[in-house]
Amino acid sequence: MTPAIALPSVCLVFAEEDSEEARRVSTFLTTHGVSISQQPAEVMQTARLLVLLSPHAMKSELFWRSLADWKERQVVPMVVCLMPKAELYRDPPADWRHETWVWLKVNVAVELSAETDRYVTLLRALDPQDPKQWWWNAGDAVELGLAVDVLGVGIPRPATLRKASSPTGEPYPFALDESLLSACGVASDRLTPDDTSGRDAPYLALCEILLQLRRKPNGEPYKLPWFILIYRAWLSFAAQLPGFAYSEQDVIQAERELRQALFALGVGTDASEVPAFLEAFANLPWTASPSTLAAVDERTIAFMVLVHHLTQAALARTQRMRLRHPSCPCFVSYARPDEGFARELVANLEAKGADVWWDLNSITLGTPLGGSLRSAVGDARFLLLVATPAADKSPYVRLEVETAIRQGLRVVPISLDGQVPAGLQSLLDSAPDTIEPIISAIDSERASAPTSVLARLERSPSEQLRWLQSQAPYQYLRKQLAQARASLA
Amino acid sequence: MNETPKLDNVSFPGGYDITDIIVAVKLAEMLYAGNMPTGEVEQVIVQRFLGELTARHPGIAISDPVQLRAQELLDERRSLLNSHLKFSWFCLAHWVYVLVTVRSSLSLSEHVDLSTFLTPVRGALLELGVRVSEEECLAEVDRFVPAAVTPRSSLVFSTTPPCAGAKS
Repeated sequence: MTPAIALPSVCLVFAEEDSEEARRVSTFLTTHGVSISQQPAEVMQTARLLVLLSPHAMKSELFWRSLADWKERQVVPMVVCLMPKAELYRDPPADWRHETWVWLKVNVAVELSAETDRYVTLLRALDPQDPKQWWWNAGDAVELGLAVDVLGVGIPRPATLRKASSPTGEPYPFALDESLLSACGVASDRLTPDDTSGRDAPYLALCEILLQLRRKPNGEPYKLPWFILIYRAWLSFAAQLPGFAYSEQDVIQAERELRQALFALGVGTDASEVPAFLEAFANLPWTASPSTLAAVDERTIAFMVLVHHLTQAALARTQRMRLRHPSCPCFVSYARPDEGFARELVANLEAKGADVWWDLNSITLGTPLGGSLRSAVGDARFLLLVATPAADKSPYVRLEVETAIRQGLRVVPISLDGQVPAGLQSLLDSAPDTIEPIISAIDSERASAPTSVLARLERSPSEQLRWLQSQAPYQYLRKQLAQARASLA
Repeated sequence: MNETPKLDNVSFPGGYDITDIIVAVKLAEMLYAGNMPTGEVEQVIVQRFLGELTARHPGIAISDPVQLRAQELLDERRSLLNSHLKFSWFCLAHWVYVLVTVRSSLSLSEHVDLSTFLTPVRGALLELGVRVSEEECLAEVDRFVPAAVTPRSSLVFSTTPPCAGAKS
């Protein structure tokens, strides 16, 4: 903390049974320069109301009456959750407390861990210098326990802006639209070269124009890499078309340009990886023979769809992705004591390009937690169950496994000691058809566990093709390109 | 596109260079608030930046170091292997700082048309994926304006600083 930072004043609401915890919080905050307001009259609109939420508090009518009173004072509530996270998944109060519950839901929640520095989390959350930032930090022990809308509602701001904070829905950083398809036309023109200017002359001229655009403010920095990528990918799929000619120099140039274009779009590759990948891509079980223009267009568009998907994944993770087909999405279910293993597993899987959901990345702004969980489980194809004694006792894990089985996901149990606890085993036995063989992650096999998991998640070539063809832009772009070809013909 | 591959080490789609950000802010402070860097580290960073800029452009009298650095960052986009967004972050840092000083009545350019500063801020935001109107942008900047009356703003406005209304 910077001594000069002026923290907002804080008020506390808690059940009588939690008065000892409240005293500790109060003492800690007071000794760190935070003023605790006792009288509602002293409270300004920017004050934070620390709400200590515990099983006792949930049952206390006095607590809820007090909260309802605070709600009228326009303070910013900050829920401090003193009970297991699973409790938050229970149905919210449906009676007169419901409105107050909704008020709490749109603000931040901090889960107090058992660590000695747990109150520091509170201090950071109170820091008003950049109220948006504190809970973005990974590893902060800041939990998004209840639904969160810090940016939209939680922090006081001019009233006129409250409606203006919704996303526009514009694609970022670029749109995968038909304007990119002109590269296919330029590439196919290369099959009938103009002897006076050379095969790549139109392509190079367009590259120069796009480069100038890229070097302007508010320009289109991604048009150039897309153009290069599509042009070179199209030609790599066109080897069996009449008129195709690529010198050895062309091959080297194409590989270098493809790698650079992919890099600019968030996809990192090793040397010689791109030609091998494109060759395998061309050998997916396509129905059309590769010796027609339409077939080359189809493969190119599918490749565009794949790169676009990887780019979006790179953007979401702020790290470049490897050039590979996405694996089946999965959801990781684990109990809090096993978080260390789960973090390690997720990091390993994500580094290999797996699409992993877990509670630390699947809770989104403004979405109720229960809804996020159902959505995350529902979008996944596999549920990775870290099957430990702690998970056996966790109602949260049980809820996830039940949801997964109900929605037909494949469940992959991962055991840290070679066996699945009895409670979980009986749950899995209720749906034997959906259960995959256990992956052992005992000490000697722990390092290889992510590889074993990834092998289960990978799609077969026909599934890869089906996935590509099921993506929204695929059919649209194919139709647009076919129309463009027809009009030119 | 034939240059030697030189991988950048920033995250996708492109992060900022912290030295560039410090320089952008300090130059804004110098040029628009009339404050010279007082911290030892700040002075070193700014002096080193200006020295290196001069060395990269020998024989040119550098009248606008911000513009020159911005152009350099735009030129870096020539390579597909460089960050696309260093320029955007640099502009955002510089012009947002200018806007905050103007809205705090600390700027020497307080009577300049606000759109002069809003345009580059909105352009940088757009490249970073945020589309806002001038009004929204200004309202958001106002949230960062210090609420307390500063010595200078209390001289300019004998009653309440202009930011007070937006914060209420």
